[in-house]
Amino acid sequence: MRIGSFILRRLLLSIFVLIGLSILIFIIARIVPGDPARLALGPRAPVEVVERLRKELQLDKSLPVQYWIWLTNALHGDFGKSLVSKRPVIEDIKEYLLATLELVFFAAIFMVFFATLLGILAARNKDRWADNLIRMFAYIGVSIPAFVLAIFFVLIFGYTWPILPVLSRLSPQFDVPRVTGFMIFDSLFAGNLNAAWNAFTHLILPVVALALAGTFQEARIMRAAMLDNLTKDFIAAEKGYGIPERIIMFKYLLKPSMIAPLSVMGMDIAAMMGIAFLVELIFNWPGLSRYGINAMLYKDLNAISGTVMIIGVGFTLANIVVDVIVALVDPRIRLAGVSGE
Amino acid sequence: MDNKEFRIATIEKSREEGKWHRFWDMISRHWYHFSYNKLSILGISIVVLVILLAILAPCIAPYPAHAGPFVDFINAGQPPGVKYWLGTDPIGRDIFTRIIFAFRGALVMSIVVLAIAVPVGSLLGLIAGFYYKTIIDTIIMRISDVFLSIPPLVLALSVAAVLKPNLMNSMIALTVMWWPWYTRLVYGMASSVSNEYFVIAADLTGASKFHILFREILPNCLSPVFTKMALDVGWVIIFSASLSFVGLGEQPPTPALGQMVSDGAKYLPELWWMCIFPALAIIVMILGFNLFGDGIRDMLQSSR
Amino acid sequence: MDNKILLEIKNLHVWYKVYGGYSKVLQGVNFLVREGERVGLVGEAGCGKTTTMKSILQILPPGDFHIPRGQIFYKGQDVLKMSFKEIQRLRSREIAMIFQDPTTALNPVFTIGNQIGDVIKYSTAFEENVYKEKIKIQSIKAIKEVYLPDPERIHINYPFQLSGGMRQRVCIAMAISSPRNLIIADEPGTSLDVTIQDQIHRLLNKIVEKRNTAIILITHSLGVAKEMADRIYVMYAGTIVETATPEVLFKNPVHPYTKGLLASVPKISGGGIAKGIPGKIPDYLNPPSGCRFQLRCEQESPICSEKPPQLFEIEKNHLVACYLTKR
Repeated sequence: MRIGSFILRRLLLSIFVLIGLSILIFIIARIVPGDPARLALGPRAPVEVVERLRKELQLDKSLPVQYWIWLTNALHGDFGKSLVSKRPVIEDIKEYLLATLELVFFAAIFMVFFATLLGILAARNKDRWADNLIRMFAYIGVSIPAFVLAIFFVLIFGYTWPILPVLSRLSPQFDVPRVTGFMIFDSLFAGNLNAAWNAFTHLILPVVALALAGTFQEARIMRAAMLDNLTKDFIAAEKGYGIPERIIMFKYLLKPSMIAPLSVMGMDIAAMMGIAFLVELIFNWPGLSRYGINAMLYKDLNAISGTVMIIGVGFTLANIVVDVIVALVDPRIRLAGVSGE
Repeated sequence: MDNKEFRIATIEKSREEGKWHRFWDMISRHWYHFSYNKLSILGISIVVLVILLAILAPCIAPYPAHAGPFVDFINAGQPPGVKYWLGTDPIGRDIFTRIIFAFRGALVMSIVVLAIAVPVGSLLGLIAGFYYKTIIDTIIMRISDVFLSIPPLVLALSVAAVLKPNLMNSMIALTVMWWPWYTRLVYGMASSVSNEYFVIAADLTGASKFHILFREILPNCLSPVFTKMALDVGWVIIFSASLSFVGLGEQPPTPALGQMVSDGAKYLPELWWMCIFPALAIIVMILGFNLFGDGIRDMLQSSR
Repeated sequence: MDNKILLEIKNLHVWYKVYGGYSKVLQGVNFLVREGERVGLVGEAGCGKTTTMKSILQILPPGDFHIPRGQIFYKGQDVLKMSFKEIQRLRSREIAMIFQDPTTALNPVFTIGNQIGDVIKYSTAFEENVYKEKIKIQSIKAIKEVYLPDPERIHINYPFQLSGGMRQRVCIAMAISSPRNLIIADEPGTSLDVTIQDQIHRLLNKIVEKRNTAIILITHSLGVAKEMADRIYVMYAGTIVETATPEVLFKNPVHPYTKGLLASVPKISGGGIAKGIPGKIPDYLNPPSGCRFQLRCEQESPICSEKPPQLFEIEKNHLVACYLTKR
C-alpha cells in the first residue's frame, strides 16, 4: 500500500531531525552551561579532583568526540546519572514517562472530541448565541495560561468546592499492580472498578487544564474550515443536486473540513507537552514533565538532556501519527504526495 | 463641454481628491475592517491602557517603592480595601503597584523577543526561499526543523534553565525558541513568490540580488508576518509568565506576573488576592493583545 | 415552437452586502425558458449571469444576500415562495446545474463514483430501495455517456487524479445521471483549452437533443451561443438588454450594447482588431440611476439617466430594453 511508503519516508526524514536534535541538546546541556565536571563537583572542589573527573568523563577529548560518546551512550539508553535522584536518568524516565503519556493521551482525545463537536456546533449556528459563546470561550481559553487555569482549579476544587481530587494520580488507599502504566487501564485489569473511577477523577482536572486552550482553538479552526468550504462550488453543486442537508453537513462538508484542524494537531500536541511541565508541577502528577522541571530548577544537566531528548522523540513520533491521519483523510496527500489546501 | 464627459470627469475627480483625502480614506477603510468585530475595539482599549500604565507606572502607582525590596510588616497581608485596592502581600507590599510594574517587564519582554526573532527568522526564511532547493535552503530549513522538533515551551525552559535565571536570559530563551516559526512562514511565501513572473522579470532586467530579495519578494511576505506578530504578542506574554512562574524569569524583588502568581499560590486560600489578581491581570493583558491581534489580522486580510 | 413555459424570471433583483452598503448586482432580470428550448445567456464577466442562475436553485453563497424584488416561476410556481421540501424536489428532480470551474465543483476528498452515486441516490424516487449495485451501474452508465475512457477506473478515482477536461465531463455526467427537465450549464469549460471547450459544447448539445431537455447555456461568447441556442439573451450589468433568435440578433441587433458586443468579435476573415466597447461595467455599489449602460453608450440622451428602460417587444420574439426603440 502507498500509505506504507508514506510512513517509511516520514520515518527516514525524522531520523535526520532527531540527529539534529541530539546536537542541539548536546549544545544546550553540555556546552552552554560550562564545564560539566566543575558543575558536578561544585565551586569548592580542588582542581586535581576536577581534572580527574574530566578525564573519567572524557571531557578532555575534542567536542565532536565528546558528542559521539554522548550520542552512542544515549542510543544505548545511557544518559548518565541524575544529580538529584542519584540514579541513572533512564531509570527515572522509565518510571515517570507513562504517567505523562497517560495525561497527554487523554488530553488529545478530549481535544479531538470536543473540538469537532464544538466546531460543528459553531459553524451550524454561525453568529447565533452558541457560536458567540464558543467564540468567547475560545478568546478566554487562549488567554488563560495553563498554569493560571491549573491554579484556579486547585483553588476551586481543592479549597472551596472539593468534589474532584487535585493532587497525584490515585488516592493512597488504592493499590493497583502496574501493567500498562496507565492507571485507568491497570485498575480495570485488576478488576478494581473503584480504583478505576478514582483514577478517572484524578485525570479530569489535569486533562482539562492541559487541553482547554487547544480545544477551543481547534474548534475555531474547524468552524473556519467548515464556513470556508461552505462557500466552495462543490457544496453549492451538491446542494444544487438536491442532496439532503444532513448528508452534505456530515459527509461532504465534514471530511474536507477535518484536514485543517488535523494538520495543526501536531502543534497542539507540542503545546500540551510543554504545558504538561507546569500542569504536572501544580497537580503534583508524578510524570516525566514534573521530573524534567525539577531537573531544570536544580540544573541537573544529565536529567535535562535525557528528558528533553525523550520528549523530542515522542513529539516526532506524535507528528508522524498526525501526518498519517491527515494522509488517511486527504487522498491528495496519500496518493500524490502533494499537500492539499 | 459635453454633459457626459463632464459627468465622467467629476466621477474621476472625486476618486482622487488629493492626498489627504485618500490618506483619511485609507485610515477609515482600515478602521472599518479593524473595528468590524467590536471585540477588536475592546482589545485596542486594553492594549492602550496596559501600555499607558506600564509607561506611567512611577507616576500612577500608589506606592512606587513597593515595586522593589520594601518591607512594611504593619500592613502585611491586608485584604483588598480602600488603602490597598488589591491588598498586600505578607511583607506589606501593595499588589496593585506590583502588577503595574510587572506590566513593564512583560511588555519589554514581548518587544525585545519579537524585535529580534522576527527579523532574524524572516531574513533566514527569505534567503532559504530565494535559494529554493539549493544547499542553502536545505541547511537553513533543516536547522529550523530541529528547533521545531521540541515542544516550544520545553525548549525555552531548558535554555532558560542552563543559563542564569533572570529577565535577560529568559528573553534569550524565548528568542531562541521563536525565530524558526517566522523562518518557516516566510520560507513558504518566499519560495512561491520567487517563481512569480514579476520576480523573474526583475531578474532578467538585471536587478541586483539585494533588490530582488528586499524590494520584490519581501514586500509580498510582509502582511502575514505582521499578522503573526500581532497574534504572537499574547503568546510571548504567556511564555514569559510561564518561565517566571517556575522561577526562570525575572527574579525577586522585581515583580513579574508569573512569579507573583506562584508566590501567591503558596498562601492559598488565605491570602487569595495575592494569587488571583496577578492571574487576572495576566488574563486581561493577554486577552487584550489577542483581540487586538485578531483585529489586525482581519484588517490586513480584508484589505488585501 | 411555442411550447409550454418552463421557467420564467420576472424583474429579479439580488443585492450583496459589502463594505459601504449593498452591491446591487441584479437590477430587474427578465428571463423565459420553454420546455425543450435551448437558451443562450451572453454577457461579459461579472454581469450577474451566475448570480441569476444560482438564485433559481437557491444556492447563492451563504451570507448577506438580499432579494428585494422579483419572482422566479418554475412550472408556474414561485421558487422564492417554495417550502424547503419543494426546493429540494426542484433541485433533485427538475433542474441540474453544471458549474463553471471543474477544479472547484467536485469535492476533493471523495471518489467520483461516491459523488455521482449520491446524486443518483437522492434524485430517484425510491430512495430506500435503490441498492448499491444499481447505483453503481447507473453512475458508470452516466460516466460512459460523457465519453470518458475506462469508466470503472474513473469511478474509483479522486478528482485530483483527472485532467480539467475529464473533470468537466464528470460534472456533466453528474447533471445527466438522472433525468431532469432543465440543465443549466454555467460557462462549461471556459477554463479549459478551446478545443476541449468545443468538445464539451458538442457533448452537451448531443445530450440535450437526445433527451429533449431544456438547457440554459451561459457563455461570454456570442459565437458559441449562435451555434448552440434557439434563443439568445444578452445581459449587461444585471439587466437583460436584448433577446432574440440568433438569426435576428446577428442580422438586426438593436441595443447599443449588443451592437458593440457583435463588433468586438474579431473576424477571422481579416479587418484587424475589433472595435469593442470602451469603458467597463459600472460600480454596483453606486450604479448610475436609469440605464446602466449610459456611460458607455454612444447614443445616450437625457431620458436614459431618469429611470431604467423596460423590455419592449419590437417584433415577434425580439425584445429590447432601450429608449432608442421607443422613439
